[in-house]
Amino acid sequence: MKLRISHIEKTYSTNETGRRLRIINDLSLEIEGSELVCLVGPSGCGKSTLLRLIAGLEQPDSGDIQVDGQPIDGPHADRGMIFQDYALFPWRSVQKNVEFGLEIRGVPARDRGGVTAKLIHMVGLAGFENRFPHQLSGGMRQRVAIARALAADPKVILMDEPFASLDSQVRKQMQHELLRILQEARKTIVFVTHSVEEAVYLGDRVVVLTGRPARIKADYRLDLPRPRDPLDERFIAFRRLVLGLLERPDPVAG
Amino acid sequence: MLDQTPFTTAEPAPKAPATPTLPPRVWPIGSPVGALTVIWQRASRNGEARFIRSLLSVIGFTLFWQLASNTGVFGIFPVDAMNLFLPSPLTVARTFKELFTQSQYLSHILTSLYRVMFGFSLAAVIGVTAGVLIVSSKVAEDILQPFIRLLQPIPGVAWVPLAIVWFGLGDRAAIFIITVGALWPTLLATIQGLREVDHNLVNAALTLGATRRQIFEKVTVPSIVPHLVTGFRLSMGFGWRAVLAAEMVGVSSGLGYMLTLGRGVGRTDITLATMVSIGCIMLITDAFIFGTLDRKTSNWRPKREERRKANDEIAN
Ligand SMILES: Nc1ncnc2c1ncn2[C@@H]1O[C@H](COP(=O)(O)OP(=O)(O)OP(=O)(O)O)[C@@H](O)[C@H]1O
Ligand SMILES: [Mg+2]
Repeated sequence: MKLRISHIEKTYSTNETGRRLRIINDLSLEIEGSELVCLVGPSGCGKSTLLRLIAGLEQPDSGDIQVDGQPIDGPHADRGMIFQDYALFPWRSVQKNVEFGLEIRGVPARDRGGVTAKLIHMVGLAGFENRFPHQLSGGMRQRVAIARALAADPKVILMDEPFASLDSQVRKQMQHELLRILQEARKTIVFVTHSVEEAVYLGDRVVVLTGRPARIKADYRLDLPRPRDPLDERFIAFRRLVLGLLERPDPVAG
Repeated sequence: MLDQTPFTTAEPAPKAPATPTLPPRVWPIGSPVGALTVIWQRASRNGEARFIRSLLSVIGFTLFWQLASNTGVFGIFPVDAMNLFLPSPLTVARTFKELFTQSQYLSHILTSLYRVMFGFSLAAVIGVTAGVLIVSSKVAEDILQPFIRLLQPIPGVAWVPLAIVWFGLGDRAAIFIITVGALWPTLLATIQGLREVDHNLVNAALTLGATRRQIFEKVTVPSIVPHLVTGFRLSMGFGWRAVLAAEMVGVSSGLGYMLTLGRGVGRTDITLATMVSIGCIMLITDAFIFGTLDRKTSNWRPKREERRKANDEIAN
């Protein structure tokens, strides 16, 4: 798998002045193989916009995004997305939510069970197949969303602050689970987060973005052994480094 | 004081001198009041108390009515006139029984039912179709909007004279009036439902590989179902109102006709028995059909705060 973002630019028109607001400015990024890439950046810098562009939910003004050499046009099952507020279908049970991608692809009902059972087990929801989203806790809902994304068998999974609305206890647990699930599923993940600690805990790579318009400020590869210890010296040093980058004013865009 | 450590375990508060508490005063179980108290307490525990309260209220009202009817509203009116002005519940119940053995009465019920179902179905089809058109096309919206604005405030009853001129005194006039009367709630619910489809769910479906058509089938349609249940429910009520009005004014059959018939021949008991039937029929359709559907689909709606959040995100 190879995701290649080259020189993309994105602007939005602001309704008051009609002036166009530049959100992403000449951003290029390459992601290869099954790695977990964390994106951090100041609030409002365009992280979600970047994910939506990769997902194909929006188009860049210029530049292009390729998956395995194919330029993307619009959303596709090869780029799954996990949303902060889960976006589960409230009228579908856990089982039916997870099945969605298979159903869409026309897999006959009797052949879906095997795949979904495995995934539901993997995210630790065995026994909850017939529950509905409103009967689940936030953490459980996010697990369903993860299983649902995996069931569609995407090449890349895009996660937009997936754990932000969970309390810190559940959040820790979910980070742990995510790593465990990924070890089994081996997928490429682009993970947006507000939290530097989360990025350093999870990431194989940590990409720091500048304030709006977003460009890449730094791109680190992290080879801290797992499971990572947030009190480990190198962990703390790295966290401090990224935090410093976020606080330092950006060089003025040319 | 200085040698005290910052951490101390709190001493348990000294107990207040124990005063012997009297057992709550209860009526002896054997007495009627005592028995009732026990029944009441048990019912409260089982959550039946509220039902019993409502039941008692209905029984009390019926007794009061019976008494008022028997005494000429406590001596204000001559007792003889009560058969016309206020037949007693017993009389009404007897009439009810009598009516139910007459095929004529049953056929009036069926006639009204048939009209409401027919008119309601038409209204549902037209309302949903027009709603879909309006939301999916600006042109359609501009063309239809003025008529909706203008016609929607007109109650179904107001269409009666025109309907009689157009369709004569029969089923077709009644069905027309029901359709026009019942159209609006369904139409408005469809429009609102379609506008409130959660953007996030559409995006989720897109990133799972859904086509436009699949999004319509698997996201849009289920999203608007709860709205439709509410819309249909209101439409059905409007339909009943319209059919009764039509039958009272011109179309000489159905339950509305029975209401006026009772008055015309001085049989107020027939009118009252008919009113009770109408109430029962409407209650049964509403509670059993729509109530059940509503409970089944209530969790399909995004919670209000989640919807607000989603809208905020779009607005940002
Ligand atoms: N559809 C839109 N129309 C106009 N402006 C938009 C639109 N979507 C986003 N923006 C603007 O683009 C900027 C970046 O938004 P984006 O949601 O990508 O930021 P973000 O980095 O994800 O922020 P946060 O950290 O708060 O999630 C914001 O200033 C936002 O107001
Ligand atoms: Mg965001």
